[in-house]
Amino acid sequence: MKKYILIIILCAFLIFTDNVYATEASFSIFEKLDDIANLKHDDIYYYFYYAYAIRNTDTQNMAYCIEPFTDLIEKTPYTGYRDYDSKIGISKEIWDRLKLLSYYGYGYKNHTENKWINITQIAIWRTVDPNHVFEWIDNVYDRNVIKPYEKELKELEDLVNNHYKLPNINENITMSVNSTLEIEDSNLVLSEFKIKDSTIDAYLSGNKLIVNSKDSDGEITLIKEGVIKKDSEFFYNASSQKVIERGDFDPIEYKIKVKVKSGSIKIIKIDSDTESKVPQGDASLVGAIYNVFDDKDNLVGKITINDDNTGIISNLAYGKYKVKEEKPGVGYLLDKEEYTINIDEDNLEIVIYLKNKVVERLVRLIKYYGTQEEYEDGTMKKEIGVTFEIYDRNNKLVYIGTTDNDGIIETMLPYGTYLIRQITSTSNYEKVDDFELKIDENTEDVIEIVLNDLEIDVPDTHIGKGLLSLFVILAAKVLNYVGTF
Amino acid sequence: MLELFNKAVFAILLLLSSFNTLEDKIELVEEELPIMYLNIEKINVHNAVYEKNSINNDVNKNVTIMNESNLPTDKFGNVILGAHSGVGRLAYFKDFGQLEINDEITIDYDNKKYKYVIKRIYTDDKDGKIVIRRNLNKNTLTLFTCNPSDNQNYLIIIAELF
Repeated sequence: MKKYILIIILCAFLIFTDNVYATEASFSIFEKLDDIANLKHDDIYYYFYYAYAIRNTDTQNMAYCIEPFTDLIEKTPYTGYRDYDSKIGISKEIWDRLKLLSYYGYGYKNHTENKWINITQIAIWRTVDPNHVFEWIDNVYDRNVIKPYEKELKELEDLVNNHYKLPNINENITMSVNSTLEIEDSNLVLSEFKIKDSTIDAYLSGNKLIVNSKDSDGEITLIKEGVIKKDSEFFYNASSQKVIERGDFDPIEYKIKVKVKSGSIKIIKIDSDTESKVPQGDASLVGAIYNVFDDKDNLVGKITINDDNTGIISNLAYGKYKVKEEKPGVGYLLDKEEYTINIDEDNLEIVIYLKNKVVERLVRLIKYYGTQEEYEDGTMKKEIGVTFEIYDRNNKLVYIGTTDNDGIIETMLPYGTYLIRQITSTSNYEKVDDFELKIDENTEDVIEIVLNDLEIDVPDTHIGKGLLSLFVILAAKVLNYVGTF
Repeated sequence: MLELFNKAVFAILLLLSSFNTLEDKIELVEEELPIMYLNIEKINVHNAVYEKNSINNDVNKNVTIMNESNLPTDKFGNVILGAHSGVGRLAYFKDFGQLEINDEITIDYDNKKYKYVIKRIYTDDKDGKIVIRRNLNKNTLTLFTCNPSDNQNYLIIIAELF
């Protein structure tokens, strides 16, 4: 029970207490900057002051006055605020600028000389009090205006003004699968960033972002953050100079989405004669194999033609490819041509129609008839007007023709097995004069089939009914008739 | 009783007629052996065939082998046999009209049996010649006779060696 009460009390405390994080510190004047002093003036009044460096008494972190020429009570307790607070007495916009001035001023990279302390301070005063002019003088006695740090002031101003500049890299980039993309930042600020997080292989090299893709999309988060590893703080004491203690700025993140795209090559196979997916004869377009090479002639894959007359290779990176047939379908001639394909962001899915010529042969039927002697002498007669039918493996009639005056029928037949049937005109009997013909790659170019019908002399093979036979038949009929009685 | 007598008389008269017609003369040289036997089970044909130059090689005596005929053992050869159709004992091929494509025929020759399958049946004009339409790249058997149905043309059967 007690445990639950403690939890309730703690929750109530967290809900109702102020969310502002507050620290305590005191500040001291550490360095007096020799050979220079500060001048604040308007049109009427001029104020001269030594140049000092103020630091956190305990941590010695650099701090700056944000109330120009107001006294700092050393080692008096201050209350610090990391988030903007109205006690600062300045706008949020100016507060953010002060944080940047203090960060990029003394202590930033090579800004290690004491002069940078005063340069930063002057820049801060000019920001918080634009109604006065802040300049340097040689000393508080002679009070000669000097301009020793104009170049540094500009450098500081440029650093602050460019702080929010992001790399000139599109936040949505596309790239090819299995490739490397290098992107240069024309804003020249990429070196201020580092990769906070990435779901794709990426790294920074100088002013370049380099991304190595595989086959999935990714996201890269760049971050720009300070190196001090503490936040800037505003310190307040009602009786003393308000102070800003140097710290990091709010991190800046920049997300880049990487879309990885890949290409594909799809082949649709058709017959070169019919321009159709339907193969001729017993040939088949299915099972053809193509090799795919990249622009360095490396084999990247194969495409096999499937039952639907198509084949595809996917997941291709951008670039040039060569497609060449390795093996045609059964009954088709190899396509020896090489096809060049270009895959890029605008042409990802390539579809090409590739054709093959079917194996075909000229079939010539020559019909002769004659005697055995004429056959042996080679003087047989050509038979005109004989009709032939040609059927495919499925018993479909694919050709019908009649011999011409030379006893010849000619036709082209594609790859396959055929039945050739001679049709005669005599009725009452089946006229079957068929034989098989096979057309394939090994068949000669012209198939000549010579059909010879031999004619021979034959005797009369009818033996008629004799008189006695007739008598017997008649007698049988009579006896049969008598028997019924 | 009368029925039985009628049948007996009819049978005797038929037997006499088959031995003797006005055209028939039967001579047999019983010593000569045939060179082959033709068997067509479907129409009950079982006939001897004699040498081409034998006096028994006569259509008026037996199934006849033609001069242009080959033997079953000749490569891509064609055995050509003919016989009478019609009526009578010599009408060995009288039932040729019952034969059909894919029917089987065998020839016994030189102690071997050669089986043929009918591939083609056609007719040809009865002009003393027949045209043989066969596949010259196969061993075939050609049988011919006068068309039993009308005697107006020749009936020709081409069978291929199985």
